[in-house]
Amino acid sequence: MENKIEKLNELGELYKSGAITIEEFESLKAEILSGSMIISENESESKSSTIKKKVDEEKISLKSFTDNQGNIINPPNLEYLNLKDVTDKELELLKPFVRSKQIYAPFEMTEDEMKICNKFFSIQEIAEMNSERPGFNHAFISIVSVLGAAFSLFITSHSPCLLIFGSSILIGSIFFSFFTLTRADATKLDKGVSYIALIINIITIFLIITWKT
Amino acid sequence: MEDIRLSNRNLNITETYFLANKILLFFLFLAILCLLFSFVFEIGIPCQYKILFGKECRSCGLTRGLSSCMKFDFTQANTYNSKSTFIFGCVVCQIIFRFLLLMISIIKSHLKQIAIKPLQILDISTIIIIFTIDFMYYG
Repeated sequence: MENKIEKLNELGELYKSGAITIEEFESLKAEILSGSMIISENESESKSSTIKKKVDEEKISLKSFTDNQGNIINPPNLEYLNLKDVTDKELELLKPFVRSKQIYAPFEMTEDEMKICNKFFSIQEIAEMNSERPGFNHAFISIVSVLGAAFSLFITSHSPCLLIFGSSILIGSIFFSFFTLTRADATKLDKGVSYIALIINIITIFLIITWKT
Repeated sequence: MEDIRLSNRNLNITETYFLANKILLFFLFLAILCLLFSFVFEIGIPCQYKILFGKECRSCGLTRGLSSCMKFDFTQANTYNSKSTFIFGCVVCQIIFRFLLLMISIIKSHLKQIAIKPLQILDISTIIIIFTIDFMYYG
């Protein structure tokens, strides 16, 4: 009798947490009351651990997104997840989805997806994901480095009146270019722009060296 | 909760282009302010090349020339430095163009209907043409 009450309580908790639907709840309740759920001690233990796992499971929100080619990527068919005890199969389903969402639609990431990302990816892996994004992660610094490089080239070749000012900008531009190039999460575009800035800076240095006073 | 996005922002090419436009516009306004300052208070920028090497450089007289341009005295401007009028014209055109681009970026809801690529190509080719003309005619 006590066993039945325990089972009914656990069942009630499962229903309240949203882990099972009303239909499942009713059918399981009927089974317990009719006594058809008479089980051995071992079976009882495994059932109660399954129920315990189910109680720890949380409803997770995974949302579809559109990748860079316009394809709609749907999330894996997982509604509930126990973050403390994720199976390999669940990880196999989750990881590629969260990874591509982090690359192509980082601003559409739900809190649950971010939680999963934090838990199952290392900082290095996240940085790698960020570096695979299509746009700029360090847009401001990349722009400043390339504009600084162009400006110092202009001053060196056209307006030597501002020689010291131009040289300071040149040093700043070189620093910013190296800063971007050494970031683990710098995208291809970030790096491309920084390389352009460095090439312009090399030309400027060459012009300064070959200046005829 | 820890934010997994190591970089705060991820901008696409169009957004980056508009950001670059804002930065350029800011520096152009700064240059105009410096000119206005030197125009109002009649303070020139000393030539750093002359200080270092003891010789006048090819851009000497440019501040005075640009100040004359602001008074619309282009003949006087060219006597100070022959590039003055050309640079003044370029700066004015650049400010107008960048200001228009800024307006376009503000009207974000219409961004999708506006073809940005031709504007970007026009912008970059204009800068290259200006540099080429400057090299060819003014050295």
